[in-house]
Amino acid sequence: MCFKHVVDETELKIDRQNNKINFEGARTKISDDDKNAIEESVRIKEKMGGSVTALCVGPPEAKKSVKEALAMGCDRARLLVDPSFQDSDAIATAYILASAIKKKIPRYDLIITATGTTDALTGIVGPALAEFLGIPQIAFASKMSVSGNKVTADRSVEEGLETVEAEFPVLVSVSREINQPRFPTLIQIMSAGKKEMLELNARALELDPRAVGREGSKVEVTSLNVPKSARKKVIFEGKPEETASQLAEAILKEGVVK
Amino acid sequence: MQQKFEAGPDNPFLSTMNLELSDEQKLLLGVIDEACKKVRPIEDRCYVERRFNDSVKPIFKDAHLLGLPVSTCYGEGQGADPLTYALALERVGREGTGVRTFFSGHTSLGQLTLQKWGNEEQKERYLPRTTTGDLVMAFGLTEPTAGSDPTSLKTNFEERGGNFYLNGQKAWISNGSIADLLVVFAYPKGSSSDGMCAFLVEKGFEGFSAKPIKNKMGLPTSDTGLLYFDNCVVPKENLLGARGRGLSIAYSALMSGRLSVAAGCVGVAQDCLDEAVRYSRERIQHRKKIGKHQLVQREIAKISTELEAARLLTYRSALLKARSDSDPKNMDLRNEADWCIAQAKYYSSNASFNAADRAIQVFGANGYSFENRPARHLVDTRVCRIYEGTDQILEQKIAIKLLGNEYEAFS
Repeated sequence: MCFKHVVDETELKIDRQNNKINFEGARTKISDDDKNAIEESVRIKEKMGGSVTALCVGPPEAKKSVKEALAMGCDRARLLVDPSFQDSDAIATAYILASAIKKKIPRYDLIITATGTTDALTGIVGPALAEFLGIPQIAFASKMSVSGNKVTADRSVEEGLETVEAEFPVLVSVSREINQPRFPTLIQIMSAGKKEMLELNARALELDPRAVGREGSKVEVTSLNVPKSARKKVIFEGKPEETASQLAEAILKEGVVK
Repeated sequence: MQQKFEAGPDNPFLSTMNLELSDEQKLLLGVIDEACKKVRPIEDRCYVERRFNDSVKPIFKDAHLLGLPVSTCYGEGQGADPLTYALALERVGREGTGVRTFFSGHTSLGQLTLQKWGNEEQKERYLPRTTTGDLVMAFGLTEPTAGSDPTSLKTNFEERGGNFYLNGQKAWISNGSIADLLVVFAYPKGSSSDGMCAFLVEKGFEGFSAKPIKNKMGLPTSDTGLLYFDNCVVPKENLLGARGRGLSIAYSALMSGRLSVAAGCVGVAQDCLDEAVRYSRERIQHRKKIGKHQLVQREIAKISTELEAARLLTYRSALLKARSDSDPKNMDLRNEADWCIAQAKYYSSNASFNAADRAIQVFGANGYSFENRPARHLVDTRVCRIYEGTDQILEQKIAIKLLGNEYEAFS
């Protein structure tokens, strides 16, 4: 499975004067939805057998998130870390992951990712990874099961639920509804340090340097701003029955409620 | 009794004190942090509605925290050392003294007392279920007429046939009316000063009843109970520890209890500091953020400095307790730990109260509302200067260690 080490968005401070986000002092964590992906991977292993390898493209400080993934039940981990990986967009990240899987994981049946991460929320890494590996992919899985060499998953679509099947090897990106991630026990936390964790850099993965980092990215984040919010100061005058309808209509129009 | 160690810079223990958190401790604190974030919005609502927060147990059960320092031999016990447990309670304390008090009653006073003093059969019978939350524990020592002086208990027991029969009442018992299993102290009938025993009382035992205490000044989300024993039938096999060892068991339990209070109070002070800093960065008066006003800065400096002192004293106490636990026959080490814990509890409980008071001052009028955290902390943490040893009892204890027992006020 693949996960991302991100800044904890609940710890970000907003500088309203300059309309900027202040990252100073914010802690980091495993992206919330990735915890669902880790949990699903471990549950499938516990039910069907096999083992789970966790992969993460991240900075050196991502080691703590890797340990947490191991504490949650992954059997081994690979931290893909290199200065050249910095500023990689979703496609470049998928390329790095695909290279690690092709070169270092000779056999796999199932790859699980989250639909998106709490920072960028592009939703692209999973599908792009499947494309690089040449395997089918199921996105937005809210439920999944494995039987033999087949995955069956429910996908949340706009007006309902779609059930799909695919044979191994397959990539499934899961949504938050799929499960409730476990809390590791202290014993599992202590045991995580004994599990295999390898760091792999660009050279070990024999990557094309033009395909990673800023050079390899087609998408660049040029700025990160706080949306301006202001009161509209709309006043409805009249009898309560009239103003109530006008207010309800205005709220519906704004899309505050559906 | 003169102290046997040097408290000054030559103390070799100080030079080996390592307070850097391990990766494992940081990871555990991350887990606890997540659980606490789940508790917070529920605790907020329960507080302003003045009702018991029944989400504490299930949330912390999911996080495997209901048996954190209990041995791994029993159920979901995690085997955490005293410092790791103190760190956990510090984090929980930030959510409020009521949330932390659940652990003080269930774990520090309940589980750890059973683990230390119970025989193997009792531990196997009860401890595993306490680690999953299937049994909630409480500690029944205090009575309406016996608080600081536990030797003046009135609850008594008789022995008839294969059972003990308890009669009496307990008051101000944390988790008292929600507990499934209680450690209860009583004298033999007819004796008011000798032979105190401890018992394991299940809530279903005939003759036992409990009800919550209403109209407390604070801790509205936490359960504090009145216990009634009316010829309460306790099987012989539920005597905890040896006969007549009740007072020793009680004092030993209070060491764990006081350390939990100290740790929780560090958390309270931290939350008050966080709130005061946050508010100072946002609130504008006289055309500038109030954090730029020097008198506001003074409040923050005082909260921060007392917090750091409380923290270090608490962590040192936890390390000393760990050493004492690993060498239980070493009475010098035990007394050293006991003394340090008393200081930690005394200092931290006052530091947390001061922190809440100062944070309210930083908030100004907005601080005078339970919708803001400092006000809740103030009324809740006030009890920490009373329970598990009042300020006055601890001052006396701390001084007597230095002066010698002949200076005891009660001798």
